[in-house]
Amino acid sequence: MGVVTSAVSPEILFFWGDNKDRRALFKVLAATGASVRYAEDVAALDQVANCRLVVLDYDSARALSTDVMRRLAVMPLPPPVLVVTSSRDKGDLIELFSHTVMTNLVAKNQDLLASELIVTVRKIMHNHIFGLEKYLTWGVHTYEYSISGSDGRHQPMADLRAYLERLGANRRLIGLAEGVADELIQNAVYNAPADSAGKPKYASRSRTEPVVLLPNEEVRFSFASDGRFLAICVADRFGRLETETVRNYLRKCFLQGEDQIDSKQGGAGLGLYYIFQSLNHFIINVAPGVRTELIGLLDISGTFKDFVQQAKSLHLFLQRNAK
Amino acid sequence: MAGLVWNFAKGNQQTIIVKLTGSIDEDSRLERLAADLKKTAAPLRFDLSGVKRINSCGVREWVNFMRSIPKTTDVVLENCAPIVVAQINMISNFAGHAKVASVKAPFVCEACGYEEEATINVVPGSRPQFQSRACPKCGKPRLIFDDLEESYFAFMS
Repeated sequence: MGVVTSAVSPEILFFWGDNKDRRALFKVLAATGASVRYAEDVAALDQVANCRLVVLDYDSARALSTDVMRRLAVMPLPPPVLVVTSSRDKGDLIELFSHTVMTNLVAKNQDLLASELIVTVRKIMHNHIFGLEKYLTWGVHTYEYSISGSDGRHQPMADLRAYLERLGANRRLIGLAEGVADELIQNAVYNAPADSAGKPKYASRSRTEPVVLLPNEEVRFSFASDGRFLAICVADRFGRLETETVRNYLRKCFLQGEDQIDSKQGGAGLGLYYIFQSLNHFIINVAPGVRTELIGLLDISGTFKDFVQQAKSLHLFLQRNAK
Repeated sequence: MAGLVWNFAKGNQQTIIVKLTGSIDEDSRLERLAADLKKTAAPLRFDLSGVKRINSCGVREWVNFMRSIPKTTDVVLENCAPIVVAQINMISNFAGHAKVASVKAPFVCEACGYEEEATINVVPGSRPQFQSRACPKCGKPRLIFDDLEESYFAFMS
């Protein structure tokens, strides 16, 4: 096995094609304090005990990445898998969402965003996954709201629009941000609350039927910007969103089949797809049974064309030992 | 919320023009519009330049509304706002059996941030390409199409 490595047993195993990128990536991963090892073939998975993160290069080592994910999929407790790609191709996304072990999809645009990788690795290694402040420059002001029902979304959305207009953001980007806030809040208000038996309380209600939440069901909504990224965050106290649900909905919607829109009572089943399409980075943090936090990052520094040219990231973080 | 309103006008050759303005969402009540249109078999032209927002529930309302229009009725979507174009590209049956006749194309000045939209007639098989031109606000030749031609006009392929 070809090795660029630290001395101790590695916590992060990475499979990478491009030599130059590999050295840069090693430095970034090692900067988190984790022990890191580069691997060339699938057999490396069997030689490393207690690996806590696998990093894959989907651009120049696609076949190897696929083999690694297939091997991990049959393990009883596979580690999180972070896939890096520059692809914006719909077919590639559909394939990636079909890999149940993939937890983090990191967009590689002109270069790798070191801050995104470092935050991702730290969150996984330290099991400290919540908070939008991890994604913004220190010192920004966060606007926070408590939402107690479906009608409670209008004022925060209006405030968000006014805030972005004051910042001088592109009009279509403001529309995306407003749409993300709408979908996130509706999702949290209608889909998150469950009764003591874990049965959803409002999920099957028509979205034209207003919902008033109990105090313990209230949703937290917040937003902030550091001038480059706008972060929008919605949190509930139920922790019921499953990563498999996210992957399945995204895959189904990207396939654009006859079942793209749900005909069941309740939502249209398009919300997560809309959110993903409207963001640069979509982060889902779940402490099962305790808390769900969805964070959207949108680059508001440029034009809509700048936004649409960038590949997208998706992060699914599951807090261990949440209860 | 702004809600959705519609107005009717008469076009050429018995055509009914329906202009929609506002947000298409769970409260749009498009079944009322469908009931109004059931009274006629005339060709329909939907002017969608005034649509400001569409959410996921609104998409379902719209798709059901389009399904309620008989396949024998000629339907045209025109002046589709960028948010409508995005839905046509993302949702497989958003346009139903309608023909997309024209769209609003977004432009932005890379120098001063000025934004405007221009109506582009859709010519099947001929995807528009745009060159940068002078900004009407700052005069610099940096007014560009604010999207990617291949993705914005993907519905044409």
